[in-house]
Amino acid sequence: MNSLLSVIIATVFFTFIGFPISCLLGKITQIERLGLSLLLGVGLGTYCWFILYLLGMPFTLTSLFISGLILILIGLVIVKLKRKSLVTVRLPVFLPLERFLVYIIILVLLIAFIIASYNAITAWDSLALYDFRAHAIVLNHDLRDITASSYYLSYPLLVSLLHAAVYFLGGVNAQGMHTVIFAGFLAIVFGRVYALTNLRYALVAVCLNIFSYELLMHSTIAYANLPYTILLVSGFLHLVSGHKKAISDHLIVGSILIGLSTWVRSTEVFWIIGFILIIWQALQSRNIRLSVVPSMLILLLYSIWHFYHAALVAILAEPPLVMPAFFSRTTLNLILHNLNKIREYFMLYVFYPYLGLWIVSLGLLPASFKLKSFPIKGLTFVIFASLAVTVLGISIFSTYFPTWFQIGDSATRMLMFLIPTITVAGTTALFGISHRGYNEKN
Amino acid sequence: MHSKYLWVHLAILGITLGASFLESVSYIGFVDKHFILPAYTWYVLSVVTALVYRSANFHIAKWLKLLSWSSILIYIIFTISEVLTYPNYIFTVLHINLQALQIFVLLVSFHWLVSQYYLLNTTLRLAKSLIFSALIFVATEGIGLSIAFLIKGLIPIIKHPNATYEDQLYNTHGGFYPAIQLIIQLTPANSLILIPPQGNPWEVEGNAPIVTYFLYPRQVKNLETTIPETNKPIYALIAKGSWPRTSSVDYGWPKVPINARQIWQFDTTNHTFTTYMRNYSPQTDQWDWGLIEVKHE
Repeated sequence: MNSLLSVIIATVFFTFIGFPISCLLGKITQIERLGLSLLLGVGLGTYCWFILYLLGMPFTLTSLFISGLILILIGLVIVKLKRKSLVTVRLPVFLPLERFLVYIIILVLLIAFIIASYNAITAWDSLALYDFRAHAIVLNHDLRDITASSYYLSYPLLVSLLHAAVYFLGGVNAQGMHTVIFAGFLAIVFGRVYALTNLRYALVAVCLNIFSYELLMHSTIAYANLPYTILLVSGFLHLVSGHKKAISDHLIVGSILIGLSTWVRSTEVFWIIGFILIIWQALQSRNIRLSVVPSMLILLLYSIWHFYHAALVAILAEPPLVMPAFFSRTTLNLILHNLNKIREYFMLYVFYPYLGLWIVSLGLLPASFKLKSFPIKGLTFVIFASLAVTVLGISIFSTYFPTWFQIGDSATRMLMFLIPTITVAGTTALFGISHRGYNEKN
Repeated sequence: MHSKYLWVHLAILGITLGASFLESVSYIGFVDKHFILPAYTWYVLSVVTALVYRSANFHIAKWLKLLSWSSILIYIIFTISEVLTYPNYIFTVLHINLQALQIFVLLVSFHWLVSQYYLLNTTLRLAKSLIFSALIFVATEGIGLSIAFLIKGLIPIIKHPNATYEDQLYNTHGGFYPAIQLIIQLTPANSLILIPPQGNPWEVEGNAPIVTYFLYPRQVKNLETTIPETNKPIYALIAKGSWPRTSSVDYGWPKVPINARQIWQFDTTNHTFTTYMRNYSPQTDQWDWGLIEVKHE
């Protein structure tokens, strides 16, 4: 019971502190604003908590509360400066089929939340890494035992600080928070797809995501893959959503979310695709200044943890992993030598697990050429750029990591973000083809 | 010309669905092995003829729709049954290959949809049919797996609605978690706990980060060759090995005698222990679970 109450209090707290920054977007649905507030609150709230720790404040409920206050103040100042007025996009009357889909979504989320809250945290990585760090933070109010090993520093702190917040509030199981942030993400998927299509398509997109076994299963365990997926994809969806007037606001919100994805997992480089999307949009609008603030935001959010991590790892006595010069002749020769294995790895862990989604992507190629819709073009670009990054990454990884072939499952999990990206792009493209010449609503 | 085209299209569609069905009741690659051309050649050919054939044929569309919906339903039911029983259950009982059946669902859905969108230009017709049928492919698998996952997750909750977090850990970690609780009871917070090497059969109790999670703030270390020098109180875990043995390494740890102040034999079922004031000997003391208080040299 304590855990449930703590999860609920943490949810309300993070949603509340994220709300002012969500007001950067003047015109969105209420449900999306709630989801966006939660994700921004969780991401920026824990980040701010960490920065306060760097400035000398121990991790306590008080410092969490202060970080919340700071975030609210920043949000209010931004909203005041931008003179934003909130306009809620009203939803139409739900027809029986749409109401049925809503009931199904609520039911599945409720069951997933019950499963997550009931089950003990038992997944190995969550025990050994994420939840351990949360308990160590709660016990010591600092990072003393975490900074003593490069293993505990291998991922940034968002998931651990999220769990720590629940434990500080008296909970013993923080797993339910993962279902809550999944719900927040579905709200964003709904809002973004609704902005580009209609109610039915938006609900179908949500259903496709909630009935994705990988996403649903991960919403009931305490791994970092789902929070990473959630922040990265929400970021991509906002980056491609800009409509003439609101373009800079969507770019800013999208870049914050993409930057926050590096606060969950910093080794993946998919955030660079976000950069390209920002510059693409700025070039398209013939206003390169549009890309300055969003790019700086991504870099800022990436850099703080990156430099902190690099400084700590440098003083640890552990032998560093020797990385090759990525574009040297030796690396190229090694890649050519591993080519058959790389192909096998790619088919086993990248292609087959997402076969259906790759077929959707194949259909997206002609659709994105034929339809004059930036969101479809943008998301198709994200999908194929991610594929290129993955192939390049696997090839380079195979040259210096001796057991690379044995950890294919983590490559599959790493690409989990393609599920919502492709399903949203697919749903939007279907609407686009069926309603040619449609206009995006905002 | 038109009706000739229809027959060509129908023939290739028939062969395609037949090939896919054959592979569903055998294995992927069956057609290639027994009928010269691999099945996917027919699949691609049928996509091309379907795109070229642009007339409305409501009879074909009706049958394809019926076939599509029934194969989707069957696939979902089979997936749920498989997850709720054991891997390969459907193949064992009905000799149906679920992976191949999924491709059958994709093909039928594609041909049903492509026959509907005959008014669209070829590129958009291909795009729409491909995206829609692939989303059906994704959703069909997702719905089956997700429903089974939710049912499986709810069963223990319905059976034991009042189970606490502790109960969950006892259930999940069998003898390991009760042993950990006894170690916490017997050792001070500043102690060093030596555990077996990480590997079979000590997959859990030899995993230092996992053991650290439960014993923190005690320090946990895999014992290598000699007892480390430290001012901290040192304890060593006695563990037979909780995982089935799959390597040449035999059960039982530690494998060498250790000078001890006392040793404890754990009864993890009743959460009790028996104390012996003697050194540890692998000949007599390799119990399922226990603890050694190491004597500092």
